[in-house]
Amino acid sequence: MPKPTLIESKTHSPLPVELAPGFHAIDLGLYIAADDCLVISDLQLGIEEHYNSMGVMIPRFNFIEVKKHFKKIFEKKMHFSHIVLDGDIKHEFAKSSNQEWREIIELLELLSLHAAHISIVKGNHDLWIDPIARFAKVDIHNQGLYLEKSNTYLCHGHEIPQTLEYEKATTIVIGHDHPAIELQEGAKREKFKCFLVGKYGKKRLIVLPSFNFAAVGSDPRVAALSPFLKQNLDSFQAWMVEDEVYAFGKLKDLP
Amino acid sequence: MITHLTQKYPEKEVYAALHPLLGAFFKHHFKGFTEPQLYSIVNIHQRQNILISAPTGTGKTLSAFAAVLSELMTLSDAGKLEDKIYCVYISPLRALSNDIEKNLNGPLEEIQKAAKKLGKEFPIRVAVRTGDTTASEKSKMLSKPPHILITTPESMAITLTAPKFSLNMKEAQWMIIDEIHALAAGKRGVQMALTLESLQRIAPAITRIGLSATVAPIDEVAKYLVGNWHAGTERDCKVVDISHIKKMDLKVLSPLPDLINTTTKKTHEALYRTLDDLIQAHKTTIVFTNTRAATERVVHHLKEKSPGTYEGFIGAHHSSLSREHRLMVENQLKEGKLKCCVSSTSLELGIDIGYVDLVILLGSPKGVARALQRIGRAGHRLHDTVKGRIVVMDRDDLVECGVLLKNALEKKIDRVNIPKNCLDVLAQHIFGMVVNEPRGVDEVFDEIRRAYPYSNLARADFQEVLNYLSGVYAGLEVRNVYAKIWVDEKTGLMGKRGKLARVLYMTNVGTIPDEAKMTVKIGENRIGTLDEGFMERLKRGDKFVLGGSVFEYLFARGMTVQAKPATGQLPTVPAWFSEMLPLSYDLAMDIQKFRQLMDEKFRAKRSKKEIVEFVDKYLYVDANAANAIYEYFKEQFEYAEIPHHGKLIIETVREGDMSYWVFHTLFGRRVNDALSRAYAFALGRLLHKDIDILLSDNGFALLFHGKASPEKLMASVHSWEFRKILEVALRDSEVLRRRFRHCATRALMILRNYRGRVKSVGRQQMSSRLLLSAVMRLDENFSVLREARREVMEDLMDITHAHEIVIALEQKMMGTQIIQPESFTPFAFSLIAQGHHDTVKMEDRLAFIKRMHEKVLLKVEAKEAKAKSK
Repeated sequence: MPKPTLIESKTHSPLPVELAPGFHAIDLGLYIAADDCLVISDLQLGIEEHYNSMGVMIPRFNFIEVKKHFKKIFEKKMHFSHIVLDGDIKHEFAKSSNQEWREIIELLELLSLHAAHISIVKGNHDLWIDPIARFAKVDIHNQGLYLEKSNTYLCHGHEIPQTLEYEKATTIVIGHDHPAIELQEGAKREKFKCFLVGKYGKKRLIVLPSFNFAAVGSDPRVAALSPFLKQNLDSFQAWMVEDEVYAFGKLKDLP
Repeated sequence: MITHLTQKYPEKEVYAALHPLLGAFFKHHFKGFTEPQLYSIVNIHQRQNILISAPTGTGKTLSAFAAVLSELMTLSDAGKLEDKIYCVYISPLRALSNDIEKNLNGPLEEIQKAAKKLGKEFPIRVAVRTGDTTASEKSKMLSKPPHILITTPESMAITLTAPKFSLNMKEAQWMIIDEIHALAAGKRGVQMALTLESLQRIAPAITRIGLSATVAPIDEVAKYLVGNWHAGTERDCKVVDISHIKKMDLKVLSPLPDLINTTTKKTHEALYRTLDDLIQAHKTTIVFTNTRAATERVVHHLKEKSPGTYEGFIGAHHSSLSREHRLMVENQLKEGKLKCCVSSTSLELGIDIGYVDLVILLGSPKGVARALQRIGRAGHRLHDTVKGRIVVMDRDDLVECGVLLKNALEKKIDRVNIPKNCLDVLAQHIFGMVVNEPRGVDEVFDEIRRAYPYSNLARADFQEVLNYLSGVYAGLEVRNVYAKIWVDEKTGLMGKRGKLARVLYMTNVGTIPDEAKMTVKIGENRIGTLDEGFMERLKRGDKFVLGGSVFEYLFARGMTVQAKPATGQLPTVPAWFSEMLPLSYDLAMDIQKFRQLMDEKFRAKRSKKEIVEFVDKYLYVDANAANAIYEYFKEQFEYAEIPHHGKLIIETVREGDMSYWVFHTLFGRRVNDALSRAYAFALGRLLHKDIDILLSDNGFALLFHGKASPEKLMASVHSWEFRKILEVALRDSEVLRRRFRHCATRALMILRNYRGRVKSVGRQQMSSRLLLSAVMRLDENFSVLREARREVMEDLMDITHAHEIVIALEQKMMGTQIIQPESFTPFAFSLIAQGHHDTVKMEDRLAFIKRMHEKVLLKVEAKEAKAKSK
């Protein structure tokens, strides 16, 4: 297994796009300034092995792309106090496969070069992640993780957490839905990963795009998965991610 | 060497070649031999490879079996008939295998009866082995093998990997391949060619007998049948071509004298009146339509127009109907109970359908061979005259069918295209070759090159397929997971990997892709199914027809399409496109020649009488039709120009901001598909815009916003980069994606059947999208992806002829004339009205999102400005 090396940040990077005051998008990651914390979600490592077991001989590609995108992020900002993986790090529901094991270790080694502290929030696919994490010396959170300075609660989003910290937080960050929006013009259709920013009750809700490259994602207006998104999404703001992050305004106004 | 047999053997010699009892059977039952039998029985008896091309109902199947039966009877007489397979009969149709067993067992029983009287017995066994054969039947065959084995290409491939059963074939002496014309043109035939070589490896002394309907070029089909001794030297083959022995009474009918100044209702009424008159004037009629939907429609309307006449006497037969229903209709036909049977393509092949005295083709059959095949279903006895009528509905069809008829009567058959060097089929077959035991890499390569479709397979391509099969593409670390075979470079051997290899091969063998059906729903209510291929062409807001009603397409998710009713609106997408057969290139060129002759006549200012007479004589059409054709060409000539094969006309028409460039390329859809995408891409490259395409057999149109110079476009497409341009234009296309799924499944990259579970088409499709994006990231030249590209360009499209045309344009052998009429010329009408719509994407994702983003920003600014001004 190759040893990860530190990625040098390039100067003159443009300032990260601000999704909400203090919340910035850096490529597919969310940067929370007050806590100097980077959040990403839904890596879905090991997806190829899963397909292999069903008789589809997909070559390994996801992790190569995952590393490319981390490189992009670290070139923009080299060090973070804290990096949080907000659930569904791996694809398999049950036991961890060899591929997942190798890739997660390599990933955590890379991340530890750029962050003082790493946390994992468990997603619905991560039922068997504890042994890996214990080995790599990171902390694991079953329901979610609370960031004090920004008063933000990070959870995967497949269920509504039942914790006091969740109740207290004014901003909720979730993944799980892999949001992506298709832009249409005439016969042309292209789908882009996106951040969504809206409300859940009185709390601000930020939905992260998936950090995996097996699929672009799905349109939350067509079929939302997370209980947080079973609501009218018209006034949610969409931010598409391609080479940069582009503000596209409210979902109901999209072309 | 391929040799044509030009002389029949005298009856006496044929009788002498046959066992006396079999000879007596022919004499008693058929009063002698048919033409194919007189030509071929002696040669087959002498163990010569032979291809027999003759219409159905001329006794060619029995020609093949006669020599075989005779030999078996002689052996039996001498007490030398052993328990082993002497003859393998392969047919593409599973149902046909049953039919043949009946037709073979019939004569056998007769002979047994005759033999009994003489106190003799011929214990000759015939057995059918297909995917439906049960395990107990198979084990019976193993212990007591049939003398004649009847099977399909796929079952043959599997049978050859059964170590014990294949031993029974070691001394097989004949293989008979039926309906070879239908197999040769597709990947199923490519796989079979490889399978035949595997069979020949086991049974080196085997003789090959091919049975074909009318086909061209017949020498190439003969080469395909026999393969090579070794690369570069084909095996010998005799050819018997008596495909034109039936007398033909053919006509093109136009239900109305004028097909343009009329209403849909009138045409419709006239059509059914014509059909009804024809059907009532004959005993039994088969009507061929070009689509399954049209089949249903014709049955429905005939019943409606003449209540009581058709109920119970008319049947529909097409591939979407259940097997039971089709069998029922076939039996009713055979028993003479039906007055009329309406079919799309499913009645074209094989099965004996009894007495039919008229075949009606509704709309152009798009090729001479297909027309003859369909019309040949009439007069199912040797000396009957074949009667066919082509009923046309528009003026393009009229010209097309006129030329088609001319070619049919003058015996000019369009040529089939045999796919070459398909890497997906190759991968599957190589895996099958080593599934039992390790084999030498060189020896495997040599065997493959004996099959005609791989005669000039490059060693490098072979090596790439080995790399794929041995998992090289996946990277060293995880290679074991992906490898299906091992290759040992030191010993030069290769072999299978994994204990399940044989099961995996058996359960996934084959080349016919699963046809995807998408379910169409309104909310939760299911309203029907659509072909995946058709669905992929729809975009939001398109109106389409399903089950007679119009719906608006909303979106698709997985294998479900959401739609809403669009009652009273016109469909924006013609329903027939994905099913529609493309016009053959050879026929298209002959239509262009006719156009040229007409152009010359008009230029020479010939009188109407002269021209009508010429049309009448040249095309063998009636006066009504000749008149309609004259008027059509006259309109085009007076309004603009008549395009033909020496003169490409491009007409540019502007409607508002939209430019329509119509290219009058009458080369058939396969060529136009390639040309239009390449030119659309080149134009997109000049304008940095996406270009929409309209496409038909008669031409194509490029649609875009704004203006451009057609001269500049024509100058920007060079023949040397044509293939490259097309490759790039296809990169992001649905058609490539779909064909990749088929190729990946054939190459066993996606296993349809794995660990006892069968993957739905929806699953296969999802997997293939993921697979394609992964493969594209790894290697643009990955063998399976390359094969998908080849299949699209060479098999689905016709890049070879398209390329020739680009060269002809470049070297000015074909002139280009650009005209700017006020509105579309008559020859462009049907293309504009019903052409198939597609888009060639030029702008990449990045440019697109930036442009859309600016649009959004402008909208926001406008809103803000409005808010401020309040």
